[in-house]
Amino acid sequence: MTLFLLTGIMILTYAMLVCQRVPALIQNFRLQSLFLFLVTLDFAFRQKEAGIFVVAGLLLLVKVVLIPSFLNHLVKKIRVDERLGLFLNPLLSLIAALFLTWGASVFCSWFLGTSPTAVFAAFVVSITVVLVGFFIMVFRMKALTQIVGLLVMENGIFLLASAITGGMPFFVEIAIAFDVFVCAIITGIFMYRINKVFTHIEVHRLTDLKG
Amino acid sequence: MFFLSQNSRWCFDLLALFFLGVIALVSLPSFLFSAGYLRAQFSRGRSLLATGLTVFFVLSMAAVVASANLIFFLFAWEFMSLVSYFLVVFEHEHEASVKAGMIYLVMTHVGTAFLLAAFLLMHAQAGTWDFEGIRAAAPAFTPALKNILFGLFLVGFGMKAGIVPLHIWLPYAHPQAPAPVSSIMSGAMIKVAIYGLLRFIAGMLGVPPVWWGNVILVAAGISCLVGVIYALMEHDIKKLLAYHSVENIGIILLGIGAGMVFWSWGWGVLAAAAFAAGLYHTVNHAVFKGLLFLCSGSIQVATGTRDIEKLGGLIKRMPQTAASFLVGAMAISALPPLSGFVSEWLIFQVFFVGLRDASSGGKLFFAGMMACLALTSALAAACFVKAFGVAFLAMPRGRAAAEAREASLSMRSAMIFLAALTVALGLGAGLVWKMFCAVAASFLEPPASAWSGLLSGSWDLIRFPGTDACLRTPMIMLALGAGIAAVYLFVRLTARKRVMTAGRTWDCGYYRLDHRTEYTATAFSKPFRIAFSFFLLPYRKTEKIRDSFYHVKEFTYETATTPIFKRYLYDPMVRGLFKLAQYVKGFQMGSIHWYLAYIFVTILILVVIFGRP
Amino acid sequence: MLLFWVVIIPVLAVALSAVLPARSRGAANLAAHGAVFVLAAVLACRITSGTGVVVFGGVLRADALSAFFVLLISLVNLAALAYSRPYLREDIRAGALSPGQARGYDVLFNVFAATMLVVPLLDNLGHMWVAVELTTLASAFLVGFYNTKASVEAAWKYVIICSVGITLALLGTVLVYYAVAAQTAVKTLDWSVIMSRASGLNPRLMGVAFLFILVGYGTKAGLAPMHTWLPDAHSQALTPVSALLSGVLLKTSLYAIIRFAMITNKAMGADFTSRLFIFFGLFSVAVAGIFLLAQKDFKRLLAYSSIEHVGIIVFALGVGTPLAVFGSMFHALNHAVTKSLVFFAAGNAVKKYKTHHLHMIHGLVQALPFTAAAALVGLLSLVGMPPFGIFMSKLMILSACFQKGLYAPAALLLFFLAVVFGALMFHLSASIFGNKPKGIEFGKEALSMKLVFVSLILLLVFLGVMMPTPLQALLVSASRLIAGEGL
Repeated sequence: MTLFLLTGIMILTYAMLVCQRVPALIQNFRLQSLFLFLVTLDFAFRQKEAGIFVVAGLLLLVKVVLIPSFLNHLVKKIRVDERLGLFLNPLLSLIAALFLTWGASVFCSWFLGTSPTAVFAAFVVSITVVLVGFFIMVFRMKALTQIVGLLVMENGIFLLASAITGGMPFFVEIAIAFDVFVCAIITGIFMYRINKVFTHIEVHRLTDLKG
Repeated sequence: MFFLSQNSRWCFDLLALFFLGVIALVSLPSFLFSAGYLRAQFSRGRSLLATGLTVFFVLSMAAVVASANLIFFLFAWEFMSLVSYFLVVFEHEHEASVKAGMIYLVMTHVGTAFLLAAFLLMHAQAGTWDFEGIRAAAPAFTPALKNILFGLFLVGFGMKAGIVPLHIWLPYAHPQAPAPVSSIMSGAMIKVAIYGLLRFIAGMLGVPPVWWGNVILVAAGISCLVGVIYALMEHDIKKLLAYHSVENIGIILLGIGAGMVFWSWGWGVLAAAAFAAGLYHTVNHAVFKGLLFLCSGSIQVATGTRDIEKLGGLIKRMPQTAASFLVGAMAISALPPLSGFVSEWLIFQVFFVGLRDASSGGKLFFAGMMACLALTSALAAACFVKAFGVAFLAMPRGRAAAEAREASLSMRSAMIFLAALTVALGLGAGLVWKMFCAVAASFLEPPASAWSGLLSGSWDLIRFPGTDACLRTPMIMLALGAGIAAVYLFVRLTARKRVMTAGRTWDCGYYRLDHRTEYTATAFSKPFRIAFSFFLLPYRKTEKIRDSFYHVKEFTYETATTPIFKRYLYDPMVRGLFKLAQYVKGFQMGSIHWYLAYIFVTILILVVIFGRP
Repeated sequence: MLLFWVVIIPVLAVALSAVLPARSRGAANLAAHGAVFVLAAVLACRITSGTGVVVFGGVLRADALSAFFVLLISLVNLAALAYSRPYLREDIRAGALSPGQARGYDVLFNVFAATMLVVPLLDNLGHMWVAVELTTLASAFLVGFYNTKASVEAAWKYVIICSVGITLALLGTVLVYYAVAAQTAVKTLDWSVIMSRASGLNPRLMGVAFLFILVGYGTKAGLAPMHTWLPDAHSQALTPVSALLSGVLLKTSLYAIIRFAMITNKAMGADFTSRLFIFFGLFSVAVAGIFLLAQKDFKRLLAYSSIEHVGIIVFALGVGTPLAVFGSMFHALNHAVTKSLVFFAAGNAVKKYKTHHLHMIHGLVQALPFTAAAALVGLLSLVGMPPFGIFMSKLMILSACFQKGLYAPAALLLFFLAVVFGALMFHLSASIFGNKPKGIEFGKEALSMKLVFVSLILLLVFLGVMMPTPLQALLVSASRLIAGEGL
């Protein structure tokens, strides 16, 4: 079951790289968070700890429901151009992602050996998600993708924490969830302000402050 | 632990007292002078500020000389540089002052960085910040460490003293400061650097290897010649005096370098004599350079300019300033029986002894140094003939000079006091020489019996050890006086009564000769410009404006020399740094994607280097 | 209970600022931050004279290091608050700021101060992470306060780059948690518990975790090459906020790095972190020095200077001897005070000349003499001249470096510092001295502003000449903790 869910997360991550439209990206993120929620739920059932259930619920609420709808609302309000500016075309991005995955597996093998257990798989997937999140922050032009990239990186780290340590301490998880939520809101507000001042959200054109 | 209260140690041994005396001798007349000078140049509030800053300046110099602890020394040293920076940029409305101050502060700070490295190395080895502890631990330093320390000290103190090629701040900073401050800076501050050299190299590191003395001698010789050649070309009187400071520091270091060579060869008494000669020139230079700067300040107050090409005839309008300047100029040109003559004579004696007693290579070396010194003093005399002659004699070259008034009482008294002191240091040479030998002996410590010869003799006699050379300046004075009196009496007695009529000087038929036909300073120094053109790299620009082919209406002539150290050493370095900065600026290009990529690459490289099992 | 009050008072100040009218709001804020400063001093005394640790609930914990940082943060908060009142009053009078915006500023300021104050007091590394991320979010609005293009761009870069850094730090925290859970069978992120079991942790894993922490929190601390947000954010923010960002926010992130470094040092010996710290420290100073030469913007110049000083602090941490760590903590204090002074003076100058451009700001000493004096003192202090504090802390750091035998790094540091000195003097002496341009008239500053300047200058001189015993005791305990001889 876990492996299936992990594969799903992996596919959705790759799919994020070939997205060419803003709504598709947000939807992708929502689905990825949903799969993450399912992984956490599965984990909670196996551990039978109330805390993890709460964390899973919080994950569902914040990352599947609240944040994507906030982002969609912002996108509609800003009336942003749907096309996602790409510095690297989808094919090249996918190939880059392959390399990132390979890198992640090498990294994981340094610590866990190469035994193909579920923990190893989860480790690799989570590092890949983090790297892909970083990738879409660097190689996509819009401000929105940078926000989504941040959130994807957080997803990856959450998955990592669940995989190798069985989840962080309860209050830490609550605090992190709250923090992610606030971060998404604030960066969203800033994106709105960028649009108001510059009339676009292409951050690669924001190069006035140099040197 | 680190702070001043825990690190105040004072040391008032002979060397420190000597330099404190030098500082006092220069500063006190300067304060007297500044009472009149500041009132004439600035408003009351600014005068007060200048006076306060000068007090701090002198106090910090005194603290440097009297301190016996590395941290305290460093603190006082940097503080001294800081306060003198404020004094250099005091007239900050002139861009030249601000630029001069910046060059000065940056260069002195770089020098201090070298000192800091040396001090920290010593502390790391000796475990203590106090001078006594370091002196006790110094014999245990490895030769390599001692050599490194020597190099660091030489550069660090040399930057402040003005040894070529670290001297370029001097001609910028000394002219821009107010005149009393320039006199303290030239008279006392660069001597504090000499104090540092003596204290740390001679006083702590013990008997040096020969090459240290040789390096100092070579650097000194180069400084002498470079300083005086550039001084010959200058027409801003303060810049001229600043270059002369470079030259005189060279002469002081000739004495000190020879002392170090003698010390390493084990000739204790001769080494002490050589050091004492250097110290003698230190005092002399402090006094007469201080005097000359004060005179230049008086000229600036009276005429508003420092350019001697616009002066002239001041001897009639400012007789006391002229007399003081003349005394200072004669002293710096080493004319007997004044103080400059005595100290240069002593340094020549040092080289003669070295020439006589050294092995063959040493003989050649000392002969070379002696030739250097001889050339330098001759050129210095030429330069002061130019300075005095163009500034004070003949007719005024401009309205400012024509309307100059003599300086106020405080300024005059300060100048006359220093002039009298110059004469006194010359006449009382024997006495003074014995005092300085005692000072040199205090940190060299040869056996006591060797000193008696040096310190004996009557008050007016200087007997150079190891030779039969001796000097009696009062005798010279009497002889000169007698000679002049004899000639005067002879003329008075034998000349017939005759009637004298006054008439116009024959002027080749022109209606009126005015100042435009006078000798200019540029013309006076032209032979030297040609003689040293391989070093000065002069260039000239002429421009003719013609009415017709045969009739030239106007002719413009411009000549300048190349400051080779600045152009070929410092400017490329600075320009290179700025160019590098412009190139590197391209890395912060404003693209947030690149910035994120930097972070990614950093963590990638780090993980790849450190993460693999 | 003390810790509770230190954390709660700024939160109360937030509530008060949202509600009170302008005049009493200023007084209430000053009173609140003054109280926090006094409490911080009391905390420091209690820790140095008592057991060395103060706890509250299971959540807040303060040892000597925390107490020092809380003291530092509250001091600069107080100074920035005292400065911002006359600064904003001028803006309101000129019509550039509405009273509602001023209220918003007060609220945001207090939120920012509250988040910063809580970071050193949290024992749990995960909670500390959350607090550091909250400081970024709280200050983002202060950076982008004016809705100009440049501010919004700077704020965006600040939020994104710092959040990426913080996310990497979270990855590092997770790896540390994994190391702790795997080796010691106690699943906790409490720093005090981890420290007591740190020697058993897997060295390689801790090393990689520390790399993520260093790059992650180092982004927020301003280490090169992750510093790229710094010049933009610090130059575009409101001046009192720039002082806070430069003076304390960077140090707060350094605090986080130090906590992790202590764990890593115990797990794998001090060499690993030492080499990394020395490299990043020297690199930051070099980058700052070379960029300083080419600067044309006054506040950007000061931002690069912050990068340089953070580099020195990190370098000193890398040298690692107790004297070096003492010097680095002392340098943090000196730099916070100096940077606040210079930023305040710069803020006045920029406001008077209505431009940031260095070539257009000259003759400050004729236009605003008091500010020019403060700027001059601050400049000289920044470059390390006596009798100001940074001279002494630099001396300590270099002395420790020579004592440990690290001659090449010390020589490199001296060279880079000389470049920095030259660049700063070159740019700022032309700005401070000279003749003022024709359109600028002679002006006077408000009395309260002069008071702030004078007290900061006096503090700088005081720190440079002597060190009061309580402060010395605090710094000694903090440095012993870090260098691993205490605990």
